[in-house]
Amino acid sequence: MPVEKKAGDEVIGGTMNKTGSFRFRATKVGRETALAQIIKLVEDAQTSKAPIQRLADWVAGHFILGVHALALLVFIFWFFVGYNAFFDPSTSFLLSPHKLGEIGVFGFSLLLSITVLVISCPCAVGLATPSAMMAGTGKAAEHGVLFKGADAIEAASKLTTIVFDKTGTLTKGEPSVTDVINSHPYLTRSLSACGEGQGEVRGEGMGVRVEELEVLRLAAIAEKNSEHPLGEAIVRAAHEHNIEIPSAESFNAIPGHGVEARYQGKEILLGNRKLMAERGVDISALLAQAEELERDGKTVMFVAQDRKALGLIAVADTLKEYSVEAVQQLHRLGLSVVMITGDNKRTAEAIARQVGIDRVLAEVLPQDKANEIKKLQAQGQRVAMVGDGINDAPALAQADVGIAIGSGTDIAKETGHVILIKEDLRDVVVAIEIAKATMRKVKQNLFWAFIYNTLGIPIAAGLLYPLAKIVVSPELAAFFMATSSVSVTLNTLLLKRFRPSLKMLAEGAKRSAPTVVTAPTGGE
Amino acid sequence: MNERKILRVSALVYTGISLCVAILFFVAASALGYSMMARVGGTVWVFLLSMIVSMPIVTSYCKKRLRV
Repeated sequence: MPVEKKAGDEVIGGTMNKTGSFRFRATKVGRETALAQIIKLVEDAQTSKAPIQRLADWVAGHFILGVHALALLVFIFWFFVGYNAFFDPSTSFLLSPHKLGEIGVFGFSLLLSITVLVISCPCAVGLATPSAMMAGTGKAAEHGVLFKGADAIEAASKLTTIVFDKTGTLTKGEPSVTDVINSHPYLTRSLSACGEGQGEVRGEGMGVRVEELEVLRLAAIAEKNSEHPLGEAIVRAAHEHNIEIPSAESFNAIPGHGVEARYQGKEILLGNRKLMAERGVDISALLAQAEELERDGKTVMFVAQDRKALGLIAVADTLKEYSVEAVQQLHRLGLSVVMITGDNKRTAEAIARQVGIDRVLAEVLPQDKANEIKKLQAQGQRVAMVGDGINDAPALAQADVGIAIGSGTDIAKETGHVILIKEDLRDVVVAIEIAKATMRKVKQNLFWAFIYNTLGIPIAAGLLYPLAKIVVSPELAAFFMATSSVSVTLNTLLLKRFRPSLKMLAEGAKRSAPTVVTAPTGGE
Repeated sequence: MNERKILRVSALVYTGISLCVAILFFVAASALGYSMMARVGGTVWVFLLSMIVSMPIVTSYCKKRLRV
C-alpha cells in the first residue's frame, strides 16, 4: 500500500513515487544506502550458514577405505589361517559347476580378497542421494518449483515453520476496492426515480447495489484524472462494474486529504475525515461503519456531493487467489505459519485473519526481518521464508530455506534457495511435499544400498565357507554389485509417479463433478 | 610447511608403512614355508592394499600436523 509522505519526511532510494514530483536531499550514498545495507545483510546471512554435511558421501568415502582394509585382512586370514583350516579342493563357485581344485593358498586368498572388493563397490551408496535429488528436482520443475541445490531439498524436507511476507506474497500488493457503502436516502430515491435496475450486482470481493454503484461512479468521476494508487483502485473498480466514467469539469488533488471535483455543476468531495471536517460535511452516520472497516485494516474514503455525505469507499490490499488454500494445506502438513510485515499491527492482523494465520510479526523493518527469522531458528525451528521483495532478501538468505516468488524482484530470486515460477502460493506446499518425498527416496535408497553391502560382504569374505564350502566368484560379485545399482535406480524412478496432494485433490474434485450434457436444440 | 612438502613427507611415510607391512608379510610367509609364488604374490598384494589404505589416512594426518 502507498505511504503518504510530507515535506521533511525521509524517503528511500528505489521507492516509486506515484504522484507528481518532489525534490529530495541525498543523506546517505554508496555503502550507507538501504539497498547496500540489504546486500550486506544478504551476504552475511549466506556466509554464516554452516555447510550441510553430506552423510552419504562421507560414508561412501570412508566405506571405500574400510573395504580395502577388510580385503587386506581377508587375504591375510585366508593366507595364514583359513586355507589350511577349511579349504576343500572339491569347493565350487556359487551358481557354477566349476571346482576350485588346485587353486593354491595364494590364488584362494587373492580370490576372496578381490571378491570382497568387487561386491562391496559402493556405487549404489554413491548413486542413492544424487539420483533421488535429480529425480526430485526434475519433478519439482515439472510443477513450477525450482530448487537451486540438493541442500535446499534436504532443508525443505525438515521445515517446521513457514514465514510469509505479506505485501506481494500473500496479498496482491496493490489496493482494490473492497466495500462501497451508501448512506444517503436521497441517492436511493433519485436512482429509483431514474428507473435504474434494482437488486444486487456482485463484483469481485464485494456485493454492490445500484445505489452503491452510484457512490462508486461519483468517486470514479472525481478520481478519473488522479494518479494516486487509491484513486486508480476506485477507477479500476468502476470499470470492472461497467460503469461509464464521464470527465469532471474541474479536478483538484488536496495532498494528504483527498480530491475535489466538479461534475454537472455539483461539487464532489472524496477523502478522509480531515477533508470532510474542513468542508463542513457531516459524516457521523458513517463513522461506525468506517471504524469497523478500519479495524479490518482497510483505508476508508468518504464521498460527499454538495456538502452532503453520500457514502464511503473502503480500499485494501486483497489476498491472492490461492493464499487461503496454501495456508490451510501448510497447517494440514503440521507446519506453523507466520506472517511478517512492515505494516501496522491492525492491517497485518486483518490480513492474517482473512488468510487463517494465527501468528503475526507486524511493524518489522526490512533489516529486522532477518533477525526475526534468527529468533525463530534460535527457538529450534527450521524456518522457510516466502517473499518477493528487495526487503525480504536478508530474511530469505537467513532462513533455512528461502522461497522466492518468480514474479518478485531479482535480488529475492538471487537470494532464495527455491524459486516458484508461477505466482501460485500453493506451490510452497508442492515444494515441501516434493522435498519430503525426495528425502524419503534418498533414505530408502541408502537402506537398500547398505543392506546389500551388509549381506554381500561377509558372504564374499568367506564367512559361510567353512559350513557351505561355496565361494562367490568375482564375476558373480560384479553382477550382484550391478544389481544393487539397478535396484537403487529403479527405486528412484518410482518418484516419477509422485503427485502433490493439491493436484490429487483437484483431480478428485474434477472426477466427482457431475458431467453436464447439453441436449441438442433447434430443428432436425 | 608448504603443500608440496607435506605431500612429499606423507608419501614417504605411507610408502614406508606399506613396505614394512609387505616385508613383515614376506618374512612371516617365508618362515611358515610357503612357496615362492605365494610369498611374492602375497607380498605384492599386501603392499598394494596397504598403500591404498594408508595413503588417505597418512596424508590427512600429515596435513593436520605439519600445516603451519
